[in-house]
Amino acid sequence: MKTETSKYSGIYFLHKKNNKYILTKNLTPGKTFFSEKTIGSYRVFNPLHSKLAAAIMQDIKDTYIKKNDKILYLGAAHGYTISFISDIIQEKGLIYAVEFAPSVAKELIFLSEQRSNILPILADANQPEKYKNRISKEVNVLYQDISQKNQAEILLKNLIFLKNGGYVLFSAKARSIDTTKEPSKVFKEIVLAISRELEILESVRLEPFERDHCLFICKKVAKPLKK
Amino acid sequence: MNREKEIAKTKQDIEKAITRDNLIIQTTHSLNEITKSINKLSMNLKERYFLYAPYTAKEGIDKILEAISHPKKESMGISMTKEDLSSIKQLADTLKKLQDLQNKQEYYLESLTKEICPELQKAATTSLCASLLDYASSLKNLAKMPSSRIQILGAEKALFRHLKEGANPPKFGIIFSHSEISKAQNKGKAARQLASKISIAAKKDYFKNEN
Repeated sequence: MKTETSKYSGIYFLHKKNNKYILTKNLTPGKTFFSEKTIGSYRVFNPLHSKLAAAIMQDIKDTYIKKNDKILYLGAAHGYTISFISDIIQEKGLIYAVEFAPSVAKELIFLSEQRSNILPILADANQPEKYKNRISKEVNVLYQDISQKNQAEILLKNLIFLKNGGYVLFSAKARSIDTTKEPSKVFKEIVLAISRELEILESVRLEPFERDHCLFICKKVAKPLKK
Repeated sequence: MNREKEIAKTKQDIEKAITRDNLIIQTTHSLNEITKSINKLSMNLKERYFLYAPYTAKEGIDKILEAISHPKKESMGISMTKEDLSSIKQLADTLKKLQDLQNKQEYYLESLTKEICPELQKAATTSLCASLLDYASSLKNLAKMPSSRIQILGAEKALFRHLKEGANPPKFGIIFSHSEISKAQNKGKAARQLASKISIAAKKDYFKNEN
């Protein structure tokens, strides 16, 4: 089977019988954590389980996650997406994985004991001051996947960790903000809220894989943009 | 930065965050499963013994369990070999054990609830208390909830139908299982009152350790 490199760093594609598979090279060969499929030394990134994979399926321009990056991940959950980001950034990178629910954070601990580039933190992303002293360096990429009503607000609060010129991957869920409004209207409000501090490079709806979700890819600019 | 140290700290945090009220939730889960399997198995057993003794099998499950220990063929019943009967007996024994387990678990749940949230147990019943905790996922969350939210806990479908399509709002959720509401004439009013009492009790229980 022949894998091909893609425009995204650390991610490979495999075309097989009209199916397109997203692959990453396994950092811990022979070991898998979520009973995902493996092809040789590669692990298959399922777009139905991860919003990042869904966005890659939608052909976004770039994931902006590279080798040796420092990443802050809010809303880590079981660590499915994290394990693949950990494949991409390799040993010298570092992911700060923030999760609020203790029961799922346990699984995150199991993952981080096997992979040296994950640092789990049990904290509420609403209160960045509580874990401020645990994140030592400014991060290159901020990834947020939190289904809360004030998700845009949480993102803005956590921008202090991101260095200038860093990138934001923000997965917004319309249904957790307002179930009665049209998703497109909710997304417009989010754009209004975050465009004061961020330059939005791309926004992509994850429709066949996730309902009413949208991934915003933004860049933190040196000076806040004026309206 | 020392990564090992950080992981150790997170481990500690997790240990602190998981409290004893999780035990109540997990115990109700197992109790529910036990009850379900008892119901299903006793149905099966009835139908099976019905082939052999049609008259006894019309009785309740306790009488059938008694009768199975001294099986006696009745008219209309088919004849059964020793093996057939011993197989039925084994099932009956397991069912008895399950009933015993159910009683013990219920007793344990009651004492556990009395230890962790005594006020809540007084305001609601043990089973309602447990299912409220299950919906809220912890005593902390339940203590933080306003009473209006507790009132419609478990009626989310009706609530969203109300918000989206303008149907009538729900008056009660799982607290309907409390006898005061199902007996009451004005159920909405009773639900509101009970919910406010539960809300106060939950707050009392959660904050009792903090003076």
